[in-house]
Amino acid sequence: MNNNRCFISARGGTKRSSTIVGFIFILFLVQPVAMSVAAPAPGADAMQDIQNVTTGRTGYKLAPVNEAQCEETIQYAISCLLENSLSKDEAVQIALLNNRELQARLADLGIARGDLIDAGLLKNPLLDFLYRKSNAPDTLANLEWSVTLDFLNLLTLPLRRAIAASEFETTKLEIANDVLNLAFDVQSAYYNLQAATQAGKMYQAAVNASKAAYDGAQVLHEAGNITDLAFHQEQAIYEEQKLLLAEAETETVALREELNMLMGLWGNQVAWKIPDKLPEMPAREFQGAGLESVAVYQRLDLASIRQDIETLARESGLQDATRLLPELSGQFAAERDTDGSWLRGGGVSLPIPLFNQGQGRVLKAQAKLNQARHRYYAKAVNIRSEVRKAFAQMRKNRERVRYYDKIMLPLRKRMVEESHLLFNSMDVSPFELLASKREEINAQRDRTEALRAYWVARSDLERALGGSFQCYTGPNSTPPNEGSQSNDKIRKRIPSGDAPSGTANPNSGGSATGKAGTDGSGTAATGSVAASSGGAI
Amino acid sequence: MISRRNLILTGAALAGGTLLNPPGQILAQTPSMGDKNVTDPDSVQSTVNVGNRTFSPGKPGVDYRPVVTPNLPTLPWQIVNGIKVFHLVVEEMWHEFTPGLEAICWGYNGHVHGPTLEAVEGDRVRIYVTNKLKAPTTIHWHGFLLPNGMDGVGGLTQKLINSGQTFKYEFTLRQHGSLMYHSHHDEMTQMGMGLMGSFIIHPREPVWDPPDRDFVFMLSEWRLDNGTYRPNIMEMSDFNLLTFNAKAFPGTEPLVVKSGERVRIRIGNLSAIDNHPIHLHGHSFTVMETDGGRIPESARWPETTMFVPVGTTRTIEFVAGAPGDWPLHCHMTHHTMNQMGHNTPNTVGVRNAAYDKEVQKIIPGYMTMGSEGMGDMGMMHMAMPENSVAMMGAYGPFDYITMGGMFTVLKVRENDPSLKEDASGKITDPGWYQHPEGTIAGPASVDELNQDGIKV
Ligand SMILES: [Cu+2]
Repeated sequence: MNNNRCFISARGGTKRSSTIVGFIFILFLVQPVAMSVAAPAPGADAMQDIQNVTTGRTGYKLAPVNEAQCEETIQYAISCLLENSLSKDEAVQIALLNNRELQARLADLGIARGDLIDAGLLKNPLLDFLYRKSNAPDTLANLEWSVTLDFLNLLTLPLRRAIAASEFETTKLEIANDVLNLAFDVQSAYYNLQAATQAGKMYQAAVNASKAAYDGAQVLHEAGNITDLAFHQEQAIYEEQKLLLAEAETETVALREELNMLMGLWGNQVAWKIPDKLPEMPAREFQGAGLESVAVYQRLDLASIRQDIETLARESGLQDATRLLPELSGQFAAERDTDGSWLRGGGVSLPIPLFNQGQGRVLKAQAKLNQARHRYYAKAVNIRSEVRKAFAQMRKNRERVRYYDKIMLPLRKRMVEESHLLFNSMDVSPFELLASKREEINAQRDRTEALRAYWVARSDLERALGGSFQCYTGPNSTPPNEGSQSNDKIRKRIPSGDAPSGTANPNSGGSATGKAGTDGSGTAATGSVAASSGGAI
Repeated sequence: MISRRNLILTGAALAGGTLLNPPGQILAQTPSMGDKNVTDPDSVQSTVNVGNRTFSPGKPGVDYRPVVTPNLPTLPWQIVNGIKVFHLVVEEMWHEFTPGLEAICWGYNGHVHGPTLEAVEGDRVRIYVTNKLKAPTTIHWHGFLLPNGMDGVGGLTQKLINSGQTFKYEFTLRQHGSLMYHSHHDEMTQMGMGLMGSFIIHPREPVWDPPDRDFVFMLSEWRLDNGTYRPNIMEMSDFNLLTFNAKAFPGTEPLVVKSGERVRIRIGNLSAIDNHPIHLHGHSFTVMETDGGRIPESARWPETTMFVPVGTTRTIEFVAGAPGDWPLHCHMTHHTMNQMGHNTPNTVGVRNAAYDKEVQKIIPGYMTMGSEGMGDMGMMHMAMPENSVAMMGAYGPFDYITMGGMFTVLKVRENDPSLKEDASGKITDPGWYQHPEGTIAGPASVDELNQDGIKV
């Protein structure tokens, strides 16, 4: 707009002082208005909101940003958490306190807040002063003053401020979503490492079993009773098992480093240990009904697109409103002529909508709004798919683990016993007996893998739902969003009700009967549900 | 001793030419040794008229001394219009090879192998065969001189006896000796499952001094893996269960005789592929007959081990000698083992103590076996698969007897009123022999060693 500013030059003018007073008056008049529009300090409690949603959705605490005095406390807390065996919850907590990528991401909040404050301020008026001296004798210097103010800026300030506030909300939602994702990343990485550690023990056991067979081959070979080939066959199996163990150990190192990265640990902090056995599955499983609605309702990335739609709708309104008159500025000017007389006056400048009547801008804004609505729809479809996939995988993996427990492991155990009996009756060689034992160990290892897949799928389901199970009490237990005005307003702008997102309020989904798992019992309902409302932060 | 040929001729002369018509026809048993040609069986059939028989059906205890079949009965019969009528029922059944080891086998009249059939030369026999198997079967009369249509070869000489059918075989016995019967349809399966038995034909007139005790054995072999319940008839060569009358030691009944008695033992072999050298301890015997007939006296020689090829019978005779418990067994060492697996590495001479301890950490109770041989296998009492027996043996009066499979004991006793004997001449097992003082091998004393200059 600066480039297009027009000057209306008023010549002459006698009351210099009144002109200056006028400027000051205007400035004082305008500034408080600007300040009052922006008050209270915009986005001041945004960090608190993100902390609340993190705790509400995951139960973990988030480190405050830009509070250097807390740094020491946090580092002390981390060192305490690392001292003993590190639990999954502790690992997630450390990551939320200590992951510097996350801290950098949280700093985006400050950047967005700066933008928000800027948007609430009026454009400063422009002061022009001109001094010219005539070469004619006995003439005074010609003085020219003018103050130009962008009036449209003043008129559209509330609209633009609303747009900025809406954009700020989007940023908050995106950041909060990243926080949750980090928590679930850590959770999955933890399960992967724990499973690898547990499987590592079984690789070692398989090495031991093949070592025993190898030793047996050695004594038989020394006695001259078996061929070199028979001996080397047992050795080859033994060496193979050792290599498999080495491969597994290599993989464990990588998984450990993944967790170190996520937790932001280095130096002597990396010596932590975790329990080397995955937790067993909970006796009762989270029910599947209504989960899709819950996810659509809870997911922050979906909520951020929803917020986008609001922003773009407001943007579209602004473009509509300023379609014919995109610019309007007024000017107060005073000029002392060389004869000492004053010219005072003012003027306005505005474009004549002769050719460009803003059609392009309006169309563009409409298209962007339309685009966001499609994105919202697509995201909702994807989220529903993610939920179904993660839930089905969780169930399938649960069945796999149970099948190992009920069928495969007892079968392998029995086969070892039977091999032992046939070994006693000399029908089966010691090598076959120990190979049978190795198969039993491998089955236990495969069962560990199935249990790992179960926990990762469960973690994926929590991620897909946009919050952990233990922090979820179900939409039926407390109406989650009734009376939340901001959300209601947003919902009006959400695409039609029969879209996949139409059940943004899970209560309207009809079958939202998700229930907390056994480990979720006793969670306070109100706090978490309030925080679980996507539009509430 | 008179030859069989002489007997027939003599009999014919004694009967004034009415014994058989024509008198020479019954002399068909030893064609390879006889100096007369074998007569066409059909013509024999046409001339044997039951109504014209001179001899009534042979009676046990009158016309012959019955045989004892250890572990198996003799099939009862009845006489209908001068014909001995038998009824064999082929069926599936459980059979115990030795205590702790049983399997589903095929047999006759509730027994594996079938009961012994016993008759007298010249008898007309009618044998009904009822098939209660699901599979068809036939019975072949091994070594018999009979009409071709009675030979029992499925497809070749008769239709198969289908499940549920009863067939009738009828022929006149024109020979004497130790013969056999067995399925002649799908032999690999049906004989592998146990379908066989002994058929003893006594001479009408004694041809030489009749024995005081007469025993008959059928040798056979099976594949019954540890922990299985049905013989594996697919096995071609690696049999792990070798039996006398379908019993493996210690399941075999002893042969009890009195010192000084004349003893006859008839042994037939219908094993799948193995020939068996049967050895008797403490005696010298003479092989008197094969299933082809009597061996001329000039061709006999003394033996301690009689080789019985597959598909033949051998009859030995001896006078029971010194009292005691004398083994009678196949001399092939693997044939006196029970159910031994053959796929494990040889552990003889292996130093396994340290290694065993390592393995026990992984598999509790693990123990290397056989590092000093297999002698202690039977006594180990380690957990075994279900339905399996130790490789060998049973406890004897002195120690563990490391024998199994084709092994039994000839118990020779002084005549003693406490010995109980049934009508067939079978004496109840008197228990282990009580040795006279000073007749048992034992550790040598230092004095004895010194006296004889033995340095150890
Ligand atoms: Cu043998």
